Amino acid sequence: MIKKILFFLLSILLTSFLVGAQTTILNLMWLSSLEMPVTLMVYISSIFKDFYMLSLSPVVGMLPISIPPLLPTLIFLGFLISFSVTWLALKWVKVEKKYAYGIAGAVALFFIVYLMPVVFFGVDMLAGARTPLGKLSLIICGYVGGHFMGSKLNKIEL
Amino acid sequence: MKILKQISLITITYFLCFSLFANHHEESYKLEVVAEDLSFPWGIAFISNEEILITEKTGELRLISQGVLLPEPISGVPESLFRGQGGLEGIVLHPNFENNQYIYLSFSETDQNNKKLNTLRVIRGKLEGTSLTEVETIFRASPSRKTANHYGAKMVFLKDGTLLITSGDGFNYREEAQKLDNHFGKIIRVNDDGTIPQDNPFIETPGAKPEIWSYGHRNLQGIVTNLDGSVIYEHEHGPRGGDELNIIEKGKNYGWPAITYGIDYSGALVSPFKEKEGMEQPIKYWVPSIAPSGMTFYNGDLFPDWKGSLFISALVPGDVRRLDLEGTNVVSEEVLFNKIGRIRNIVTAPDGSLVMVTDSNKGKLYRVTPK
Repeated sequence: MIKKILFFLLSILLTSFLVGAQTTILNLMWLSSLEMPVTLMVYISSIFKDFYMLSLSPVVGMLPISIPPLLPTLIFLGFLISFSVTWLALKWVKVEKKYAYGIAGAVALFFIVYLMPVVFFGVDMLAGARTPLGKLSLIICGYVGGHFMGSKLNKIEL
Repeated sequence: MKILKQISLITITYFLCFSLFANHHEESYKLEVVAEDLSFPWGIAFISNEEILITEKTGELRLISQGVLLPEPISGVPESLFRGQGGLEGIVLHPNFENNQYIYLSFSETDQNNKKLNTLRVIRGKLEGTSLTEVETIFRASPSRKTANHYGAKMVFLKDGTLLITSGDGFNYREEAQKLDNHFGKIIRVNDDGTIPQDNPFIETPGAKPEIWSYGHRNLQGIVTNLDGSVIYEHEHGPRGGDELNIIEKGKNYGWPAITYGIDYSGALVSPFKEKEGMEQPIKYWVPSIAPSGMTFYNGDLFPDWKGSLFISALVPGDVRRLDLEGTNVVSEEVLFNKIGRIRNIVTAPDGSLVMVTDSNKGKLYRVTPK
């Protein structure tokens, strides 16, 4: 059970990292197109800064109190629902876990990126989700996170 | 025992002196509520010292006459889209209002060709009594947007009679602020009838919108000139941190979102860069954000010590910043009026008093006068 929880948390962290990196890379590519001095070092340091700020640092200043980092919290809620549904579905449907959980992760991210603008008057809070291609790549990040979870569950049970 | 008594006496005297000193400053002015129960008041314009026009974000234009808020709103105001940060917002009188009765209003409106989209529109109309007539469109931002955020919507007339309009980046469209083929994140300059001045900076640039005066802005909610109109001050909301006060010059790029002192609400970097050649620096910036919402250049006589200061209203945590200027440099900042909540706008009245509105569905209009 502890291992399952650990892998669940790791899958959230992995997805959160990938989502952050996608946002950072797209942003830096755009800055580069403006002839801003975007070097390899800027890429590396920005990816890690964004990972820290998006995934590990509490949000201060948005509300009167500090709140947990939004991105992993959203992914946590999304994965909790979609993985629970997958766990139930797998009792009746025969699909390899890594694919089933991968699809569950993708579905979770699909809802996160498409529901966010509904809540925030059309605003995509994640800069990387502002184009259809960006949304698609975030959904793929969700798939990777779910796939990781599914493959680890397979290993535990083997 | 005697020593203890002496220490207590000294301590009490010290705190008494300190509190008297601390209160002294607030006693130099008084705050009086002129009107209340305003529904998200936004823009303020003075017809005279006793006649004040107020826009309510919910879509009404109200008139306060002789200190009384008239129960009926001004009729004939076009319908606006009250959603998110949108609604009926800016108001400015024509410099020759006494003779032509023109007022200018900015607001968000639904795109008539696609109801899912909306945009910023500016109209002018003649104020005849309590009706707005002869309404005509002066400017409509293009393209339309899906979001209901970051409209800008502030206006100021320059001394040459042209009108500057701030047009925000629409939040989702921040990269567009660096392009000249759209109105996102721009300051627009038009003649008083909406035509385009021939000396606008990009009028000859292929593909550029000819109304653009400056670009690279985010959500610009304050724009004023100094007394002789030679300097244009503008402030804009940053994201998390990075609110800016800029001096606006023709054709300049103010950098958003390529350079910024703020980060995204999500926590991600907007840009790792804070400066770049060819992009203007603010004369002041705030980290963390104060959410600047309105501005006035004070040149009244009621507060001689404040003459030549910029007053900026702030939504977070809710106060007014008085900026002392030496030339165009900010030399000090003083926090004022920080006990009345989120302040949406501040203007100077004709008599030199300061007038502010609070941001609420039960908004109040305050007048600040010397005590």
